Amino acid sequence: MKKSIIYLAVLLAGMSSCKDFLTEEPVLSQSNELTLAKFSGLDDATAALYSRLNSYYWYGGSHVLISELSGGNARNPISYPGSGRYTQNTKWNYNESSTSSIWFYSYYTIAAANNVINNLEGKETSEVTTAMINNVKAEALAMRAFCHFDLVKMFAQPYTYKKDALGVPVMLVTENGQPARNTVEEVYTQIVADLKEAETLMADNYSREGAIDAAAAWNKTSIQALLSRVYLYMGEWQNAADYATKVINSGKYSLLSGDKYLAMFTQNTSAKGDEIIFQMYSSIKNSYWDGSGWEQMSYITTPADGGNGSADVCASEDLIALFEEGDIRLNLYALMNNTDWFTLKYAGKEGSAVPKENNTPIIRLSEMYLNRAEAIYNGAVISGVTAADDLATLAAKRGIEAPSPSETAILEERRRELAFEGHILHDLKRTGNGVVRTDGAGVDVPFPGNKWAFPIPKSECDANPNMVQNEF
Amino acid sequence: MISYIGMKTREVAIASKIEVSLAPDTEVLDEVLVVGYGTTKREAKTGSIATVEAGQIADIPASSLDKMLAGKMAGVQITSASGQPGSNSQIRIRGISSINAGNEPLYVVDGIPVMTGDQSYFTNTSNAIAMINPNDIESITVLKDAASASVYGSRAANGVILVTTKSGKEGKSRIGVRAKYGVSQFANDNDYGVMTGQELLGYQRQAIINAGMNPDDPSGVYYRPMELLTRQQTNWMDHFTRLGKMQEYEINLSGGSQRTKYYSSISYHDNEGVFYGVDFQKMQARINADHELNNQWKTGVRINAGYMYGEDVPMQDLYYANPAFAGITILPWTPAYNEDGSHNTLIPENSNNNPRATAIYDEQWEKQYRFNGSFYLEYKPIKGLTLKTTNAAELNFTEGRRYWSLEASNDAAGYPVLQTSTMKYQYLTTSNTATYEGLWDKHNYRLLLGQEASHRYSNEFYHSSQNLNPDIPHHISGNSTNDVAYSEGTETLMSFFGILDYSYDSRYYLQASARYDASSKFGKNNQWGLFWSVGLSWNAHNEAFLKDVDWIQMLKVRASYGINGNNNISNYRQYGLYSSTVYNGITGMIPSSPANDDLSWEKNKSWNAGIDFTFFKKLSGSIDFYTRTTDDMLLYKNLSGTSGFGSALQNIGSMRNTGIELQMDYKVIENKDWLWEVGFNIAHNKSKILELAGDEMMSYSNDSRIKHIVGEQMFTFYLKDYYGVNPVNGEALWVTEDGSLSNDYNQAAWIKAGSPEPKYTGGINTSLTWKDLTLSIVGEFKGGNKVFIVENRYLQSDGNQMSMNQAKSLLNYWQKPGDTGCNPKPVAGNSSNSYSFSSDRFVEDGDYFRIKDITLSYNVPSKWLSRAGIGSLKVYGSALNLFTFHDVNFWDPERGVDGMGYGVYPQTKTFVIGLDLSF
Repeated sequence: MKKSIIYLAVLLAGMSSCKDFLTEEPVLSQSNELTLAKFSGLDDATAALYSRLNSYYWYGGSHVLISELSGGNARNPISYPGSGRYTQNTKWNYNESSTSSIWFYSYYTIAAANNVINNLEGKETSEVTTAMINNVKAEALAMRAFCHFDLVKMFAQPYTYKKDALGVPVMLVTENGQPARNTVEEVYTQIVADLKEAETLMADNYSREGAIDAAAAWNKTSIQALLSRVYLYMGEWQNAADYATKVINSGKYSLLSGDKYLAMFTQNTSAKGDEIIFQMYSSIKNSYWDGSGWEQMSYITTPADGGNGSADVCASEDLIALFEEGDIRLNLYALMNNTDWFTLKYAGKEGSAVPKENNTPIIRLSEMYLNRAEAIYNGAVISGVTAADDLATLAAKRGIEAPSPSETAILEERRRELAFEGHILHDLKRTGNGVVRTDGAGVDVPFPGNKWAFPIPKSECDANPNMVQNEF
Repeated sequence: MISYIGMKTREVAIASKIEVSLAPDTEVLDEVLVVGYGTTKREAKTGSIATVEAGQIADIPASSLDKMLAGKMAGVQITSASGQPGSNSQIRIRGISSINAGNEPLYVVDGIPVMTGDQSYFTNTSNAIAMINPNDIESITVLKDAASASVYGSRAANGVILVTTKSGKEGKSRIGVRAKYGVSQFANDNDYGVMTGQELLGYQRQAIINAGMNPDDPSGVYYRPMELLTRQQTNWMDHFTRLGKMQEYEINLSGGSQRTKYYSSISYHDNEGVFYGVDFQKMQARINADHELNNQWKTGVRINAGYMYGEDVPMQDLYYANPAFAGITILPWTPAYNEDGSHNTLIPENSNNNPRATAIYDEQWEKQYRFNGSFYLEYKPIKGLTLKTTNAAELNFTEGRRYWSLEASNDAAGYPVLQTSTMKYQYLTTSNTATYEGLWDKHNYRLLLGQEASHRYSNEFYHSSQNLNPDIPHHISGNSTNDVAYSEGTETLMSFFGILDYSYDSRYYLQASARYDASSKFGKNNQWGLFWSVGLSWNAHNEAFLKDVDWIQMLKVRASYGINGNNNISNYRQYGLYSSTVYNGITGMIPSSPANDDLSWEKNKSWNAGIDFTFFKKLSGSIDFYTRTTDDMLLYKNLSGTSGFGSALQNIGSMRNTGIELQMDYKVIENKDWLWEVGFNIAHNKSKILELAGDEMMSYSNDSRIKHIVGEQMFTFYLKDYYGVNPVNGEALWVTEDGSLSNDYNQAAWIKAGSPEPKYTGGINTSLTWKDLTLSIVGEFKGGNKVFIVENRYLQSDGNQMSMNQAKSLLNYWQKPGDTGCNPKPVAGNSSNSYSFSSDRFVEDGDYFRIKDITLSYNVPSKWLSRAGIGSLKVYGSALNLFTFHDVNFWDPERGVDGMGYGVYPQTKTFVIGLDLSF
């Protein structure tokens, strides 16, 4: 009997050491539990929320280029063969297999943001103040809103046309679920709620520590700038104008002119006091820089001469024709072979090897003037400012005569100013204008129409039975 | 009880002083089989086991044992993905059972599982199993079915290869000396080739004219004057290849006293490849020693240590730096040398890269230092009971270097570039068993209980830097954009197992096994798995009613069923993880994988039924039928993107392999002077995918042109349906969805275009001995499989690739209305996609018959040798891959298990002479 007790003890000891022996955790990555347990991990997880913006599916390339190609600002060059990429966008050949991958990149980022937002509570310690937690939470909320906004712009009909149409699923917790689509209005309501909470939580002077480019992380003003745009997309003119005014009056940014304006697009980082409010900071050292760089915006939009680019996308004559003599913005386009105009907004950072790095501006100060002009033109009231004033302020910096405010004039000015920055498609859509082009594929896309809500990726529909596909 | 393979087991009464001598058991030498955790007699087996003995492989001129098994065993398919010396083979036992877990069998050497595969960073020549000297091997056993393999539990699903190395024998010490020398050349038995300059120029000029342009217009897009032929022409494949050389030397010592036996060997092997810049060397030494302390205690060691050096050039892809690809694409009128005699490296059509210069100026090598050592202690406290502990360590250190010189890169910006890597690997195993054997009346039984644990650790360090000072070609002189990577992983396995063998009256046999495995790789809800098997057999020849039938020596009927597992997945897949990511100068943490607490092994459930027979004392063989079903197959299931991940690895698929195997040996003649034996084996296997997580089709992870389709075989080529050439205008035609024909590639229907899996595989071997002269031949064949000649996207491009040479077969092109059965009309700059990567135009029948090995050997009669004090002397000549019969429009029909073979290093023919001497 005694013996058997000893045997049993040895066996049990063996079994329990077994458990240790069989537990092997990776040393080069961190478990979810560990990352989300402490503020430092949550802060690291928040810093990483921006990482995927550099993906060539998102602000590293196609998200922006799809807007320009299908919206009529861009086409495939004629005098260069190109690499065969981006040939379907001018023809609106979108199907559930070719549709934009930002579906996934946005939702991955939303899930990662939710991990932060939902785990921050009670993480205060002697070193971690509530203010620190609030700043991080504000960043994550802003990023969640930004991603929902990109999704609803791409995959749903515009708010201004049909706000009860199907939007995209609003994700506020991370789970392996099969959510159905919320309405467009519900998505926008959440975006506004997140941004307003972020605006409230974030300290006025907060800026992410360690960032090379301060404008590549959210701060209070850039959150307000995004709110201005979101309200503009909703047709809430007064709010759009109010938030644009907050940004303009913050004094943190100023409109540039001449060579300074031109140089802004290829500088390494945003300079203090320039027009860049929020942007994607491009670097070969970023993890989401594609290995070769051959998919990045600069390579795609640069002529093939000297092996600098693949010359897949150039500007359309329709865009070039909008510029009048003396407009410095025309200097951002180079005519090659007397045939194709290539944008220089992504000509590459100084000193960067081919394929070149180039930041992608996402929100600039000039947009705030244009947002406000449009909002005032549509009935918003800001004391002491008219729509014509804002257009004139911008025109003076760009070397053109100020246009007199009209729906067309404001839209054309947006097109000139924000070309190749991913606006045109969504501006046409929210204002109910279809695509009419003379240069390019010659495909006009009237609004309204099913095509304006892009097909949801097939793999999402396959994996999620509650997902309703758009008609296309 | 004392036993030794090939010796009759003899019961010896315990006495104060005993002398044991084992009588050689020549009659049944091949009847004792090494199996999991012991040996069994062919008489007693219940499962499906194939063996190869030392003598059958020793003379084959190959650098590793896997290469020597081709064609030897039914149902054991050996596929070479490359003909490069030192490369590894793809071994598939009874088909392919898994999509995302591995398909390679488990290797067990002297009772201890070992590492396998290509363990390298920069080369293709680090086949771990090559460290075993083939001549050190006593026998190789392949455990094919569940009944024989399930005792290896979670690692047994793809079969188990048991390698037993030689032990010393009691008696006089023997010294053996072996030497081999050989040469090798490119195998090209189907007269494949690319065009000569004249042929290519004619073809291109026609293509230019067909495009409405003038080949003689110097300002045209394509300027191809006849003057090109007056230049020096180069056959680039010849320019990149040479006669390979192979040499091998070995000394072995063996012997032993009554209580102590030893076997040791030391060898050197060098194989210079047929491509410039390819070399494989190894040096290896082994000591096997056994010592009986007394009648109860026995101990011993098995130690193998060595060094491998592989020198390589870029291989195995469709890349300009690969000489196997560049050799068929560089234009014949491009000069090979500059005027000053140096290598021309300004070759625009090959990205200014000359692989011959690369082989000289660049460095690409890997050194491996390997150690395998095991120690055992055996104790027999009472009659019938044996306790044994075996403890082993496998250690490997690898260092590699890749240097991109200025010379070979034309002083390009950023060069010279240096990449280096080091890799450490440590694999510790303890295996402890207790065996009790007994005999009671006619009941014979053996019970084994065991425990095993293993721990594997590896780390890898990689460093690259640019702009080195070529005089100091080390990282230290590079600029600051150094790139460093590090990885590390640990894996553990804990097992408890048991085996029960029971037989009654040498007529009825039962073998059962069970194993309880736990692995660190699986989720906490599924960490432990139970694997088991049962086998039954009936020896009809021992029944009274057949005892007197004198033409039946053996007739045995077997059946078995069992479950085993496949744990071949990478570490840490069960954990939800964050990994670091860099953006905007900040290193943050990003979710990198979703958690799966249920992650578990794939399970293989196998049935096997078979017959073994020996008739007329001359004809012996076996027939086996099997099905093996893989359940809980690991697949990436698509998740809703809203979860934060696109897919997750889950146990959700199912597939099945069914097959039949036949192995036969026949002694045609056996008398004083003559012995003629013939062996034949053939196996048929068919795979079928039953369930893919609700999907109908999934892409093969290595190449999306191959799909996994429910209801079809494991691999199906899924390609655009090429019809052929339009006889009216020479355009390529495609079959569309509705069956009509179209010249628009985009309208072409996607079709199932066959499978790279062979319908049958097998081998034939014969050995004819007359007095001291022996001729043996091994042939190997496969059939019913398709191969995809992916190179043809460039080499049969119908004018699309004007700056690459083209396959000679393209000369058969459409020339005038009415031409059919030919290639499309060449048009310079053609963009019709007739040459598409994804068309069944380039799918071909992969059937072949290969004369794998012919060896003629002569044993010098001992009466001549004894005066010189020589024990024995054998001289032989051998040819490997002497000839291959096939119809594939390429150098060689073998293109790997998936039939894709990107830019493969083709098979080579090797001719060897050698001698074996012993004292």
